Amino acid sequence: MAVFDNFINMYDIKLKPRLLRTLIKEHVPDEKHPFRNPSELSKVVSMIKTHKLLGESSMEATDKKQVEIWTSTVDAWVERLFSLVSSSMPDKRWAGICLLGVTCQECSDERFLASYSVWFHKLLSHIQQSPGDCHFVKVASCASMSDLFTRLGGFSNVKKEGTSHAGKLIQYLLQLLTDDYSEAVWEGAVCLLLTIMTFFPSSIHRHYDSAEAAIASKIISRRSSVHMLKKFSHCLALLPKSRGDEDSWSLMMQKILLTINVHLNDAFQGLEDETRCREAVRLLVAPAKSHPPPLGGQNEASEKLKKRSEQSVISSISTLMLCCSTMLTNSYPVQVNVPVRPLLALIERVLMVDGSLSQSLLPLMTSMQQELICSQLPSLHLHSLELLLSIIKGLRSQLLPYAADIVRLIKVYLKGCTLPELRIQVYLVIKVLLISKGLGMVVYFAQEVIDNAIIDLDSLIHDIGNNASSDAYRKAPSESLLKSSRRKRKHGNRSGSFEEHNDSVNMEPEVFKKGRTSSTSLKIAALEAIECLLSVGGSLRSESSQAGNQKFWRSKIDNLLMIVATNACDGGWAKEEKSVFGPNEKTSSYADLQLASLRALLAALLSPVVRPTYLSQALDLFRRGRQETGTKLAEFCVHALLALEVLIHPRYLPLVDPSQTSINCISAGLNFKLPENKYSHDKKQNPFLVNDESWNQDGDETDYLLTNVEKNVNYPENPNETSGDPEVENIDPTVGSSGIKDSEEQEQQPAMAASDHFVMGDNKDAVMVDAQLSMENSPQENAICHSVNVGPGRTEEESANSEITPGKDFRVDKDDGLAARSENPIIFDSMKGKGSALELDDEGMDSFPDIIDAEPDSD
Amino acid sequence: MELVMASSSTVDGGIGCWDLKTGTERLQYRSCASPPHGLICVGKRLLASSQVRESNSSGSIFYWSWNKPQVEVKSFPAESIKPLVSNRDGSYIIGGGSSGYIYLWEVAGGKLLKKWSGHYRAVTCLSFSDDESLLISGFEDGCVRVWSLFMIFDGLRREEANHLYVHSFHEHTLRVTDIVSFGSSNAIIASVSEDCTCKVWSLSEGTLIGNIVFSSKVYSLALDPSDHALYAGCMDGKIYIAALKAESSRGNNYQIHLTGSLTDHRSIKAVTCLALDAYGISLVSGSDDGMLRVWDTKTRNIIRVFKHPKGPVNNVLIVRLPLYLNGQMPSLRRHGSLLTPALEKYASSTEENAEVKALIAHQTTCNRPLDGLYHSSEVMNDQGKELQQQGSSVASDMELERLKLDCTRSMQMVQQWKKMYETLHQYCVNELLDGDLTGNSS
Repeated sequence: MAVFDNFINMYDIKLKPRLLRTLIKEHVPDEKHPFRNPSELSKVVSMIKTHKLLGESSMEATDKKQVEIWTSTVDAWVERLFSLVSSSMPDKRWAGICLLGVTCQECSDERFLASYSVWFHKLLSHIQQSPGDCHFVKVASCASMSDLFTRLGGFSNVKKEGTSHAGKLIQYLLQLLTDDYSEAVWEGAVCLLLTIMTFFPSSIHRHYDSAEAAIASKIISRRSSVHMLKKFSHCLALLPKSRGDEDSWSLMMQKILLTINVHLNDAFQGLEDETRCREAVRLLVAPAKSHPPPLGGQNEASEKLKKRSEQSVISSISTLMLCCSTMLTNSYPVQVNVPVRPLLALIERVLMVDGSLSQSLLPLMTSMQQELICSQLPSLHLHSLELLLSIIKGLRSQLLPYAADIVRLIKVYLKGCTLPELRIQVYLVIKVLLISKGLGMVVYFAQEVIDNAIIDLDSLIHDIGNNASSDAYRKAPSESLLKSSRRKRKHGNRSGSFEEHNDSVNMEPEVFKKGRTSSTSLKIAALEAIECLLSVGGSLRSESSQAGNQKFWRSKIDNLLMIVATNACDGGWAKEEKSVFGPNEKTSSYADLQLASLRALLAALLSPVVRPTYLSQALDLFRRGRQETGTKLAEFCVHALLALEVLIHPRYLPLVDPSQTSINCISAGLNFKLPENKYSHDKKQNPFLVNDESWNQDGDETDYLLTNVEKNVNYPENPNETSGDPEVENIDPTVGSSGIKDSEEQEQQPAMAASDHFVMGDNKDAVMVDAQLSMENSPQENAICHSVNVGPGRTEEESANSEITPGKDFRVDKDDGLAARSENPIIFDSMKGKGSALELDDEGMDSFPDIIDAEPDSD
Repeated sequence: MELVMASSSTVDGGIGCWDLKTGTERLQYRSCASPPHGLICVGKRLLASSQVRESNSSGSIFYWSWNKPQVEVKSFPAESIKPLVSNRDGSYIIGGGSSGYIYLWEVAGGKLLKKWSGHYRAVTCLSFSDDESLLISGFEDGCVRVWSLFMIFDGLRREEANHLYVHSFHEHTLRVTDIVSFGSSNAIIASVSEDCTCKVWSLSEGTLIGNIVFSSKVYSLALDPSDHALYAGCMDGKIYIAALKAESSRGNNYQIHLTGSLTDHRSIKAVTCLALDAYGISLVSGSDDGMLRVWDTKTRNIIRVFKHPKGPVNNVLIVRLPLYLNGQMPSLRRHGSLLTPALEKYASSTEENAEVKALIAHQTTCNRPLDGLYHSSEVMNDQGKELQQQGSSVASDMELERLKLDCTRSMQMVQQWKKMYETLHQYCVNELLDGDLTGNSS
């Protein structure tokens, strides 16, 4: 090779064989030299992956000669690997095996298909029993073999060969699992087994029972770490797939459930009623049928069990539960029957044990035993909640008959549950239930979610580190919130069977209030649950209608969310990046909390209510958040502002006939200011706002209010302008098109102006000012569509029970009016005059009382 | 692909099936005589229809699979069932009896899960709310009732509450002919009736929020979600278009304005059923004259006409099949499951509720290998680290083996050196001896 044979750039195809050759020469160990530095290998692998050195072809590979050179270099590479794999030194063998795995992943399709069989046998010889091999090599060969099968699984034309190859391997793998190897070897073997199950399930068919036995004994025996148990459980859950029929799935599920229940009998002795455990087993095995063989097939399993400590019992129960979850959520080739009742019975059985001794059996348990079981219970609860979640996910719409039971269980559980980790999980379950089951579920859960969220968000509601001026308003609503929640608690629980829980529950709020500041993640979970509640059923009245407070849960929640968001975001925005030295992923940062609070706030604003109460404050928060360039929070704030756009400027969307859009545009332009007026009016209504700093700081809005006032002052001086200006009248083409209606409207016009004027005269209320202002801005609107006048007054009146957002109301209404007049005189014929004429009359007549109605409301 | 399905109440009227886009006629399903609202598609797997029968002893519900014209499964409920409804998953079928009872079956096992008395008059139409948690039923005497399905299954709550329904509306004076619900958390229900009115209710509030009076009896209703337009098929052969008007002067009533109508001047027979496609563009109407008309809602013109082979049409469905089926109807037996069992006549005792079938549906998951699945390089890196630390037992294991090999090699080397030395020694000795000998000799 010439010294100055340079490349074009780093993408040049000539570079690749050269680089590979250098790697072979300098970095890959060979027979002659000792292999000192294993980290060299990582560099080699990363080089190969970045430059695709084993690809053997590239997009612009037109030069045949270059490709040939490349191919021969890769040949040399494989040659070197072979020599390494069969080396006598274990570390070189190890290096060879690892690199062969990488080659399986990286090489070209043609090469892989041509030589995978050879590679398979090379690797197989290291997995087979050979006394000389150390564990390290075995683990590496399992990993490389797994990669080989993963790659092979991608080719649909070699399924058969793949299955037969995998079949040869299985017995050695099971041997590895049953023999007394280190955990690393087991892990490698299980990973390989999983890969084979995923891609070539039928190859395990013949070894089904021994595979089940091997894995089950690993789970039941006490020696594996939690990490390993997870893998074993996954493997066990996927095992039925290799047979792919309904029976093996059901049998596996039944066996697992029975095993769990048997283990629970031991663990929960003295903690629960005997009846419950008998009931659980009765549900599993139909009276006429015999018990299935125990899991894993061995009978000594139960004997072993007795000798073991409580701790390992609980960990294998958790593992088996995890296995059930996996079975429920993974797809299965055929439809299978899910034993929902036994599953739910099991979950209830676990969740109802809180470590307290059952009265009748007091002397059976020493305090040490109790301590042991109590220390393990939370993890067991967590796993049963996960199982519950999987049931909900797996059953989808078929959950219906069981939904009520699940809800009841969760409600009872949530009352007693104080550990943050568990509460987070419960919130998650509630969230999933709400999303999947919709409005009907909101009826059940609204009160629970609100009450509990208030407890968990307590420290954010009573945020003391805030300025005094805002404190006054924060205190009032939040205290009333707490009071009402406590009141409700007392008659919350009606299911008589859980009386013992009831007593302890009623004291809770006080306990919480004093000591607890809930963790950030718990707050986030609570906020997410509320967000979900609002998005699914924000407009629904809560079901406890006898209390008479049904309408107010929304305003209570809106209030709460505004306070929480303000408090969470008051001290500036938290940094999103996790520090290099800090704890890893699991913990949520304060930035996540801020994000969650803003998300919930957005849901509250968007969820239909007559009009969002805190729109301007929220907008201010979102605008401030948008400034935080490059953060998730800014991203979300932009989204929020986009979503709220509809509330700020109600735009025209074509209603029935797209040909009307031109008219729509005109009226949209005229109408531009109205909704903003409405919001400024909202602010006046809101007693908290007077002291709200954030709002006062907002220069734009203050200015805006000022201009409003000015206009108001001007207005009474020439009230007749509104209706009298002929030019303005003429701008709108629709008005002239129907003579009768036109005249009707004109008749109403002066009267209305007068009435407005009158109200203005003795009432300095902001509502009326707004209404008038809107008239001034768009007189034609008023001529055509009376609802413009009525808008603010009406929303006042119905603030509690109407469900349509004001902006929407307004625009729909006007468009109809236009549409009816301009396009379709026929319809009025078809109505024979009775409908439309009546309506017009109504509108004309009613507009006066409506405006006057607004008076008392706004006081 | 969107298919239009239509059935008729005449004996052996059958179900006609056409492709909405191309207009080609497809397989016809035989022996069906359906009452209004009696034809449904169950989870895109099968067609189900209740049957009009002469004898009043028991009702009947038939299933057809997509690719066969013959009835596949026949079920005979305890009484005559007219309206049917199924959820999107196709896991439940709910039917309304002529005695006012409402029946809920699960499809997979055919079990009658619940049966409750809705009213004392016959059920005329059924509809699900958007999230399928509420069921809305209309009755012969104009009553409209909303049920929470959870409540129906919640034994404890049922005992507590003095009535099962969530809302009960009595504003209609004559038979309710169609009900449509629209919207998720803030849903509205629109119902039409033979009393010539269409009434709009707020589902969450449970109040009447709108009323519109037509000039003739209204038989069918379709709601266009994007346009807020409401189509009402009337006895006079016209389809009136109304816009849902949000604001009104009269307190909290929401007015509805008629904005036009779709009229075919050749026909004055009643429009009995309506269906809108997913885009809200094509509206299919079925009429008593046996014709199906496809309207373009934008231009308000008829774009296609189908003729049902027999008799007046009273049911129309638009079924959307996923594209990947590529025109092939999904087969029932694709995943080895046998025939869908017939629906049971009577509910089994409550004790047996434990055996309600719940199925995990087969999901087509993507099985393409992903980079994340490869792990040899990761294992290699981990092991490499471990090797360098030299502390772990596995690493030392390997180190030991290496040292052993080194040792044996060194031993060999020693042996070799020894041998060499010995040879050399021998050689030297020989040389010396030879030298001596020669010296002596010389």
